[in-house]
Amino acid sequence: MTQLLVLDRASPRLAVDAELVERIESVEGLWATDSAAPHLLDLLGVGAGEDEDRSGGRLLTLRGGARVRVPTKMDLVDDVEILAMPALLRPWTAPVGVMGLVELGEGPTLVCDPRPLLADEPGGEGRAAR
Amino acid sequence: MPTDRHSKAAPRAVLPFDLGDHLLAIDATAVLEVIGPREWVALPKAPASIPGALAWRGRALALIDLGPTLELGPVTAPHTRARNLVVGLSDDSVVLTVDRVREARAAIELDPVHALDLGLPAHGEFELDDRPALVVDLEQWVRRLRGPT
Repeated sequence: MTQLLVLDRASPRLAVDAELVERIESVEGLWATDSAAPHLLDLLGVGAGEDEDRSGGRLLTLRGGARVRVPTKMDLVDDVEILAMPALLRPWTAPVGVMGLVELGEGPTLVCDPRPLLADEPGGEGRAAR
Repeated sequence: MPTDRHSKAAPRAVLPFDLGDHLLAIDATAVLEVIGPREWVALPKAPASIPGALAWRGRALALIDLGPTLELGPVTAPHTRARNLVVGLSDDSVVLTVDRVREARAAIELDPVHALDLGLPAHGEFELDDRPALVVDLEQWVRRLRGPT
């Protein structure tokens, strides 16, 4: 069983495995270089359900040092089982870091590991190494 | 594996369904379950014919939508169409989302595809309620959908 950070109002519904997250900070008050970390929804090429201000939000520092911004509001969900994505979908799940699906009360939710996406970003290696 | 659209291998039985104005069918022996509308989640950058996934009996299954191929509007998250066919394929199971499911038909003789060229691989066609119904070869269709390996 896994603990997830479920992003509020993301479309599609998204979550990040809490095991991947070393630190959560508010973007306000951080150095400009930190706040310039890419937004997870931009990396995935998807939108937020409502008017999400992508200049703000929270900054996740992931295992290995990579950083990604996410919406301000997240829910911590305990004891969920991640269902493996079917092989048929893997050509599309792997490039966007989708590692599985969970059934939550709000509906099925994609579980994402943002690290491969960050490695592909310009400066991603350096960001992860800091 | 040849991709002959006019395969002579007829299914033992067919399960007809409606999608938009189209009357279609699939091999009834491959259908594991017919379920009502379900919530599904879209997968970023996935093609419209295989737009996402849903959970079924503790598994994540790919959602298959024939709508875009038939020039119908695509299924939009979070809800599927009114009925869903859980279909077992040779190496996977998928969910085919449709509008209405009709009564299964026992062994029938299929005609070669001639009236319904819809751009879908098919086992053949038959007549139902004075309308031609195309028996879609879902196995071959899914094979076409597979992305680069």
